[in-house]
Amino acid sequence: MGSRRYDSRTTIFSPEGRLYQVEYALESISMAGTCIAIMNPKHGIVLLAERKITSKLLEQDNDNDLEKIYKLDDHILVGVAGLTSDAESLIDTARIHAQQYLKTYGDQIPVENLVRRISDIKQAYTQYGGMRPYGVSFLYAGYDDLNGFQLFTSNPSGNYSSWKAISIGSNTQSAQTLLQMDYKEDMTLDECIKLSLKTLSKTTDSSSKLTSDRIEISTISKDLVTINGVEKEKMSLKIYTNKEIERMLKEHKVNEKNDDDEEEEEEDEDDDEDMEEY
Amino acid sequence: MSPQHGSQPIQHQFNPYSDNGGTLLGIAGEDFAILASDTRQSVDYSINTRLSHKIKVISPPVTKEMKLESTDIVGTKNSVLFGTNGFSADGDALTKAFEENWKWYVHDQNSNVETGFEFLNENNEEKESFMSMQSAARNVQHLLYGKRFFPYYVHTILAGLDEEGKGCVYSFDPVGSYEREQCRVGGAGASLIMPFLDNQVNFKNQYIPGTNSTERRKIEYLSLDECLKLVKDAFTSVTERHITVGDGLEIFIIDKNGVRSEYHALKKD
Amino acid sequence: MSQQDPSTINGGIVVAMTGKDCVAIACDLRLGSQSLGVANNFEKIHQYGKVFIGFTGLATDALTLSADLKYKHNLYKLKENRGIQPEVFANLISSTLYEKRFGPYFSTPVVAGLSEKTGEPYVAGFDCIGCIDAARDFIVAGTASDQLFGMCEALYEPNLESEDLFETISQALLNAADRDAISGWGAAVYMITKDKVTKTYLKTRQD
Repeated sequence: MGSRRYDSRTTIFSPEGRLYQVEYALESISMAGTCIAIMNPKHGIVLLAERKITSKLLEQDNDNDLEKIYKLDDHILVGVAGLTSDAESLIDTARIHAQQYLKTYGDQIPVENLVRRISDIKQAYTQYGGMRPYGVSFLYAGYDDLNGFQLFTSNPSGNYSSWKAISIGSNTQSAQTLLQMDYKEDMTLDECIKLSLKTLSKTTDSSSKLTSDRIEISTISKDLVTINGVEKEKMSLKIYTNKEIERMLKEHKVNEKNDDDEEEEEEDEDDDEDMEEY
Repeated sequence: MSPQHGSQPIQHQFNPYSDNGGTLLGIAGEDFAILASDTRQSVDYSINTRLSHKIKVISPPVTKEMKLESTDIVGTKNSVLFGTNGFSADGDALTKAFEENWKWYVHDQNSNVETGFEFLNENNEEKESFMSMQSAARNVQHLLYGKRFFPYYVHTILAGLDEEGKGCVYSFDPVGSYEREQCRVGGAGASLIMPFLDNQVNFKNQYIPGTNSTERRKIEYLSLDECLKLVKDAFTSVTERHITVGDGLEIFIIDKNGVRSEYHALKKD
Repeated sequence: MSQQDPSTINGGIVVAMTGKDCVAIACDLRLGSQSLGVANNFEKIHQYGKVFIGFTGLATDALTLSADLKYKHNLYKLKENRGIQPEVFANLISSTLYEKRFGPYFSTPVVAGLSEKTGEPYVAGFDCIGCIDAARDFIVAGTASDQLFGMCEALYEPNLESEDLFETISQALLNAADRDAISGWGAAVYMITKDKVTKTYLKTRQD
């Protein structure tokens, strides 16, 4: 398309008014593992992510080392799609920024503040410096007293937006379609979890079942706790362990065959046989 | 030597005082009194001597009979245990001055009885004259305040038996303000030991268990042995934590039998 | 006004002791402006995970240091995915203080906690520029530190059970505070064992 003349630097527009480096970054992300998040303003947010590469040889300990989901502070989680190394660099910056806010103002950072800060950093790399943009999209799930539960996404362009349910990474088109169909305004957190698992299992490239070593799940919700005899609502942030994910998959019957999936089921069996030969 | 050219002129002044360290402790029991001190004398980070005396027993003569009963008696029951701590030169000077006052006082008391008229004494007994603790204390105040504008740089503590035979301790500031007390620590270890004495002699902050901190522990006189234990514990503690305290512990105990002394070694580091 | 010594304007004390499989850390509750008593609920001990730190000295520096350490501790938790050990925290405090070597924080912190590394109780004290004193028995700090030294040295014995340690540290704190005009006005004691942490407010003289 002649784009070769305009894609080597971030700091120039193409004649069609496009920033090719940014688009290429987005393209790279569309091949990364999917992250899906669903929010209910009253009950909380579920953040689900699929690991792209799983291997028996890979040292992956779901209980301590996560690849896709990270904690930014005690009240904000983030899901990653894209270059993990770029992501970790931005996450470090985000964490420091959140602590600096806490130290200066004695209060937890509002979610949008943090999102905006990271997005601004990403944007800078699209305009000056001559360095390539960050190849990461983020999915932020957080809670603050001002605006309650919030769900944001940001991408390499530096743009960010707020959502009720969203996915990033690969197969987002199909995931979004499904979410749009099935999302309801008054779902409980459990129903959100079920929907996110169902959506992921339907849109995933991989033919094998969803297992605890392939996915990471986390939630932000409000729990009723009794402090000094008084019942209060306390925000709680939870990243699920391997065992808990197994239990959840069983509970929501994610890997069980439905009538809808009969055709796919046959295909699945064929695929399994192929894999055994291999 | 720091270079002086170009800098402000510095006035040099002879400092007449120095701090010789050490600690002095006095406790009054029901019928006894204790005055104890460490025996180290130091200046800055050096030790002058490991055996110096901060306490003098100012006593009427010890008779042969008394010596027979117990050989280590160093004073009678009417003695004044005189302790000073701070700048030892001033301490020694004050001790000498007081001793002189004491000797004259006792002599004059005796001399006031005209020879030949001893029968005017009750029961015709020769009263051994002595200076009462009250009087000694008041005298010390005047000695100290006499140098109000170039003070004796010492914390003085007196110990003895009052006219009722009960233990008594008087303590003074460098210019003569004084008070009779149950117990007092003076010197370098004062800030370390005084709270310990509050807690263990006067039972401060101690409540009877089970009363939910409403009933305070009853204040009772301590026995001599208990007091001695406290004294030794206090000095070993302050020896640990203060550089100018250590080497040896000298304890003087006065009761109705007279004055005796004890010596215990302390850490030399 | 002549130069005030920053470490004696607000007043206050902290003491920590080790026992048998337990540690105790205690503080007074006074905040003053020299002779004027301003607050009787100024707690000097803060909790970071399972590690407890008391801050004495200039109150503003104590609060700033506390916030700064909270910041560093939160980042540590996020990056390491685990709680911090007391010895490690001590080093963190030391470097934080030494960064301000030529314009120091006028605060002397005291650390107390049970170490999972050694399995032993751990206490440590610092001067205001970060020298670590990792004593095995007790640490004292504040405007009545001399008095605390005397009390602790006399009352302490090693390997006390937690009930006895509680009484010992309480008496050490109370009697030392009573001999210091700018310490006292209430006291709080934390008893830390493997299973639980107990916080007790002591009845004290209010002068």
